[in-house]
Amino acid sequence: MSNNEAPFEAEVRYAGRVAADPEAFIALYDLYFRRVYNYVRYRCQDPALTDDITAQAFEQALDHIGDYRPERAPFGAWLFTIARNLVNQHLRTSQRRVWLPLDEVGEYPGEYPTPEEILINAETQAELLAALQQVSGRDRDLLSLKFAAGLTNRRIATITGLTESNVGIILYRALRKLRIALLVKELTND
Amino acid sequence: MIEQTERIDEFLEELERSLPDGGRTSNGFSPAERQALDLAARLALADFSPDSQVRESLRLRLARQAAARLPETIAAPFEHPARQEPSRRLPLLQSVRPLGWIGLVAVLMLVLGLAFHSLGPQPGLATPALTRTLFTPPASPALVSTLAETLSPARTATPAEAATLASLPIQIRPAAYPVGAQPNLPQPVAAISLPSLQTPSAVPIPAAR
Repeated sequence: MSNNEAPFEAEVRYAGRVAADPEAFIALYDLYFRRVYNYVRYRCQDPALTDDITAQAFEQALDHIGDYRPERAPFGAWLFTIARNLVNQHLRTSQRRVWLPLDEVGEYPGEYPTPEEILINAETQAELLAALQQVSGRDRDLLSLKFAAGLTNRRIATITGLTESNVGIILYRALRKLRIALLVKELTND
Repeated sequence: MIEQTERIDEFLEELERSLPDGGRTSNGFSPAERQALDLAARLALADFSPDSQVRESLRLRLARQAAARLPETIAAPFEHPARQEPSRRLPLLQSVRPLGWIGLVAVLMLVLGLAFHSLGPQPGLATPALTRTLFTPPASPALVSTLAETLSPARTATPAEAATLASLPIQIRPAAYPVGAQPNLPQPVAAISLPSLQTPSAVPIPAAR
């Protein structure tokens, strides 16, 4: 399953009974862990902090699972709203941004390397994380919701309060900023 | 870093000014758009989740919490059998559990019933006179048969009884009718005089023949 693949069928199947079935909740955990983790990692950079916030997001989701209404929003949108609030809360309380030097990126290898991890260039991931720090917090939030969480522009608009067309424009410009940041870094390295 | 971000914004604006028409190619994407799409693909495909140190432990913890919060369902597939409750490991115990609840409820109801029975109002002791009245057989069997005949609904009044009944005020005139049938009263009973009911002479008791 690709990172951006939205598991709609599985989500619908499990979300309908998640409030009364722990099996469904764990199935949704398996479906969404990777996307939630990547979303938080894109925004927070620090692996340990990402683990903490990801765990908090799922634990809060379980604590408030009785409040979730499948007919109102997909489970993913509800879950990423929780994760986003946690990240925003952390960024507000810390009153600082975590700027991670490039040298430190990639020093947290996974305990169990997967084939995907072997295939994907670690250097590219490190460059991406570093380049994401060059864009504004709002741009990074939207890029993370779009490409790490895999949400649609409409769903992002619902979560962020922006209009759908505005989300598209901001995303496009953020991508171009990110691309330029990567080019600048490459030129600096050369 | 903020200065670098501002420089990126300025550079981006300059780039947009230098490429007003976007220089679109035959496939519909400008070079800038193509680069953006490539970068979007890189972002979407990047996966940092193998770096997580808590993925499995968090999964187990959530499974336990979910099972505890939602005890009506079984979380057995997500936990190691050794960590599961005995009733989840042994189907026999699982099937016995509902019977145990039913038995517990039955015993509870029995205990509560006995408690109410023992704590409830006790029947009062009869006085010797009442005991004699209740258990003394009638002195004359003929009187018993007379009473039964007098109280029988099929019996018709004797002329003397009819005369007595006719002399009664309408308020206290007795009416005999089968159960379930409407009383055949000469006129609706507006009221019953309580003093007349309390006066023994007002309602003569039929004399035994």
